[in-house]
Amino acid sequence: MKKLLLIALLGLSGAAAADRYVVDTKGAHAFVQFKISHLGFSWLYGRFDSFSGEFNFDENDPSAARIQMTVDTNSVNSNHTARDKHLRSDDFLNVAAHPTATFVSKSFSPASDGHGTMTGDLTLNGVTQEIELDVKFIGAGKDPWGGERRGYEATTELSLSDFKLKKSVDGAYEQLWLTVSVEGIKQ
Amino acid sequence: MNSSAPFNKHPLLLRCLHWINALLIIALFVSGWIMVDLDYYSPWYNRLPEWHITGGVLLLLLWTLMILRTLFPKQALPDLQHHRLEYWLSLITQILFYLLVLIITVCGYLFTTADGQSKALLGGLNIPAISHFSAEQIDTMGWLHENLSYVLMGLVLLHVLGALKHHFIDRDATLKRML
Repeated sequence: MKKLLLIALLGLSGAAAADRYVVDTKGAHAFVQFKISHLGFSWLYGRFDSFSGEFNFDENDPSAARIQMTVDTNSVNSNHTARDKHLRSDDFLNVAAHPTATFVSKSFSPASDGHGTMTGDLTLNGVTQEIELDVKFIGAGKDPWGGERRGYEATTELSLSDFKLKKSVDGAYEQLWLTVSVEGIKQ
Repeated sequence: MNSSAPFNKHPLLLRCLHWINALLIIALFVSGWIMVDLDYYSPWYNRLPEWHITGGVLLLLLWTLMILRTLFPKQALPDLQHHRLEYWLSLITQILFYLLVLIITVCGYLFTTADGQSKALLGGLNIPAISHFSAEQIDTMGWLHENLSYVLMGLVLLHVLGALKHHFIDRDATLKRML
């Protein structure tokens, strides 16, 4: 029993060493954006309006950084009602069957200046794939309202067919550039 | 009653509305059915939905006339002495026509303008947005629009079979009154 308690305490202290941050969706200081080529003519930009997430960061052990995020696929917004309806259908996101997309990190390889590469599992359309995100550290510190914040921007390139989206427009134009911008509030 | 017996036709306005609406409803069903499966590279990909929406607005206007028409007293036509079951079946089918076409066209209108912006029709006319709707509401209206259309086509089939039965088997004036 004593041993168990000790392990529990050690576990707690380990967790306490890394700070927990909740992604500031309330103040909308976070974005899940994407762009995809429209037949090679232009970039089509879209975003997901509803999502949540949190991450852990330890100043002394950056490689232990972890993040998980959940996106409501229903909230896809490409500024065109009819297209959004089509994107929600089973031709693309199939939101009736897969209402959420998730990202759960597995490892972080720190580079200089707080930047790095985050590896993790992205589940989209019910399909889980390991992806790598190029993470840029933007800034951290005290905010004007008595809290502490830390922000990043992560980018990656996805192939729609990897996630079995039924109707990618064409093989050549199914690369999607994803940008996730997060600002976490320290808990 | 046999085919040589005299009969009164339905009023001209009703006969015109009936056949224009019938053609429009079939055309809208077929165009809707085709357009959702069109290839992105098809020249019809943008054009057919525009026609569908314009036709749908026209149907909604004509259907409003149909509904208003029921509010006015009608000239009674001679009773064709239909079987009781046929009478009720045809009455229920026709009431469902009124309801279904109204729901389908109104849903179509609302989710077409669901972003709160007016929508341009063929010919440059704009239809105003009535309200703003959420993704869930739009998808529910889309589901109704699609599935009630299949129900409607089932009833159209029943309606056509009934008319043909009266014309060719009973040899009464049911169909001729509408021509």
